[in-house]
Amino acid sequence: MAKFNFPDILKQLKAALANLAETTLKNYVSDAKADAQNMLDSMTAKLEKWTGLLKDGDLTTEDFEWLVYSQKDLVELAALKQAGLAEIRIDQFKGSVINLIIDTTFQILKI
Amino acid sequence: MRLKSLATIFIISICLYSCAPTISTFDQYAYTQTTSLKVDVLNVMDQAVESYASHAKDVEQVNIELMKNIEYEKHRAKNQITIDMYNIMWKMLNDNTSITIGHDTFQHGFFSRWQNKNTLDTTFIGQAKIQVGEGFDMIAELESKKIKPSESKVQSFLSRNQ
Repeated sequence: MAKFNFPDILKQLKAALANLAETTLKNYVSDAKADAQNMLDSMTAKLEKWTGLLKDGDLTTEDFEWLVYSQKDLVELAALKQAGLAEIRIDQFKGSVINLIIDTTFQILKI
Repeated sequence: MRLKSLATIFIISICLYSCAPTISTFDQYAYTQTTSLKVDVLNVMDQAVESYASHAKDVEQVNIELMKNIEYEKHRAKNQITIDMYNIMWKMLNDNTSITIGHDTFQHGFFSRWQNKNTLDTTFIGQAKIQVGEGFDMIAELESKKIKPSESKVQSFLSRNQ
């Protein structure tokens, strides 16, 4: 068995875990800019539709306002859903973390 | 040898901490109830071309269903995200808060607005149904993507920890 140096193992584990997090979870790390862009993207088609209906008199201004306001609820729901999916992904990620810790440790110890 | 034991304890500690699920597992009943409720809510929304008074019982009935779903979700462990989502849906349908935006003031909830206006226009109802339907879809989608209790990883974890 190789000489045991725990600080070295810890250092290598940290590096490997950081790499794993970066490659596995990068799609779930969002910033405000991306959120704002997503919000706009999620509304674009609807806004176009509602604006057309408003212009043609098929929606009242109040109808239009209600619909646009309701999008706020959907954005909140989408954020929660994403958070939920991220948690599920993190659960799966945890499995990978365990494997990585064991594999890396055994590799270093040459077990 | 002592150092190897320490390393093993370290790994086991991380395993115990990391293996606890952070979100509930998939529940077929919850998924079915969500999709069924969606259909019922959208059907009642269709009735908004007629007076609210003539459909007040239908609204009450579908709200009871909604409350039952929320109550069921509340009693599932690690399920706060779904509960929060249902609470938003409740507001989207029943919140009586007056919102002032642009030129008008209106009730936040669809049913509250219906009650306030007495009837609503077909085009608006159609678009509002898309919004409400999307909301329910997101709850159902989250449920359907939760880890299934029958999955091998979950079974293996459970058998190791029984």
